[in-house]
Amino acid sequence: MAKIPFLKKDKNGNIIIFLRKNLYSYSIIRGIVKSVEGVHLKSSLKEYFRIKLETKDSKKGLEFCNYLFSEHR
Amino acid sequence: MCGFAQIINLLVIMDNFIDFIDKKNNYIKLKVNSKVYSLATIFAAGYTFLDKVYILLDKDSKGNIFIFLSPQKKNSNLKKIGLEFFNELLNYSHYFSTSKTNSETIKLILQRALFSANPSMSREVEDKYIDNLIDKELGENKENGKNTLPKKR
Repeated sequence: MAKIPFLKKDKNGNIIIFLRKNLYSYSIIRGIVKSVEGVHLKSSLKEYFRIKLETKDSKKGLEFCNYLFSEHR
Repeated sequence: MCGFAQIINLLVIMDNFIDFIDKKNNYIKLKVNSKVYSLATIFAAGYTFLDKVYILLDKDSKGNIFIFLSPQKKNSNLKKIGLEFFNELLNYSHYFSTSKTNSETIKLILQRALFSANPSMSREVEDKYIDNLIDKELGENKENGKNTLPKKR
């Protein structure tokens, strides 16, 4: 599985994704986070949105990134 | 002047290229100048790759957008994917620029098509246009009237 920067794991092994605030829309991310269980958003960081996925599967993290990308089109 | 512009163009083109290929971690990082390709173009081009690669974006303070592409299948040709992505960027950039220049023509054709389908609509628009023209004429006459008041003797 690809080890892309901005795709990390926390101490419990959950997937953490960092997304640039000036590239990804807050309203779209918030909408997804509200509608999907096991996804948490932290928007207090200066330049990045921090999204935590309650999964240890990196592939799911990457698929979540693609889903976010498609929603931005 | 023309030569100078060509050099600037060349520099801009050179600035848009593959940043690096990480074969170990199976991803390629592309660097795109946001002055050359808009974010909308990048999202449109990326959309066509969603079934082949995982995509993540980043941006630096200089306005460069970094595109991380990670193939969904193992042993894919990373460089080929990167170059294909640039082709798609060019394709969508061209599409957006032509649709912008042709937008007025498309609008006109659509209007004509709608009017031919509903002639009463055409009369309404024509009446409105004449009313606007009359109002404009009257307004101009009033202004001229103010300016050409007879001088006091």
